[in-house]
Amino acid sequence: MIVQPDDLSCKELVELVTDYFEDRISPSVRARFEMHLSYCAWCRVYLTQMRETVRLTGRLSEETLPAGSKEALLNAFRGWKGERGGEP
Amino acid sequence: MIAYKFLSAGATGPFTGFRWPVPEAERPGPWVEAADGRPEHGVHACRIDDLAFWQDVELWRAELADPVLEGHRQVFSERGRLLERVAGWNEVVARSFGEACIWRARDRAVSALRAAGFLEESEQLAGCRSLPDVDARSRELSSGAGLPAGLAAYLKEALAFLVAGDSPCSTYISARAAVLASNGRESEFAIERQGQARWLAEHLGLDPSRSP
Repeated sequence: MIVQPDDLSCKELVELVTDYFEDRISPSVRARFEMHLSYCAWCRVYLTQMRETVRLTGRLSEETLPAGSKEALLNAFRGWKGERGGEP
Repeated sequence: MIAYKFLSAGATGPFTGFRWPVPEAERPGPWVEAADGRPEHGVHACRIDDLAFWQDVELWRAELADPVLEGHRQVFSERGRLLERVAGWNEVVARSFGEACIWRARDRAVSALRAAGFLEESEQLAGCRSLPDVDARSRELSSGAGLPAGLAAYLKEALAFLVAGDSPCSTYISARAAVLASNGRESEFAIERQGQARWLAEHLGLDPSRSP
């Protein structure tokens, strides 16, 4: 008999965070997710940081960007992709 | 159904941040309902066997309205209310609980090592009379190899988290040690968690007959 591990690893939890926030996981996976949080202080911190990030970035719009920031960001992404051989 | 609910400080839901209305003047707290009427979005609680999986700062006795559905290591219902705080659950008891779980892990390690023929290592751990003893032996053994080192590493980690004040993580590690002590049988994790839950029920005076 194969016994499923009772909870998630930290890595699995990180991969599921978006689905957890958007309530796109089954009740069983949600229970395992929250069970992991019950004993893992690092993942609790991570979840809090992600919530805060979503909250803060949700308030941003293109108009709120300081002058030049948009170009600087686009250049950074182009450079980052170029370094990894992706599409420029 | 009478069940139990772990909450963060201030009767706060650890995952939702919901502040639970608490009982007053010896009367149960008001009923809380799922916002969208879906039981799985309603009130979650534990049976006694589930307790060790969901530790937090406060423990409450709660009532769930019928129908109560069964989830993964929990039960849930569309409506629930807090009945009373389990006064016996506090930092001191949480620490004692963590210590008891480490002793249980030590006992399992002793048996596993003996069964695997590591008699000297088994005797070293069996001879420990205090947690500082367990810590010292575990540190020595964990620098070696194989099963003795693996089991000792779990004990050492469980102790480190307990000393740091993180009893939930410490008891989790103690339960994971049960898997290694049983040759990797994953089901031993849940069995050990249930053993831990029985410790809680006994020391907190929880009545299993009132929470199936």
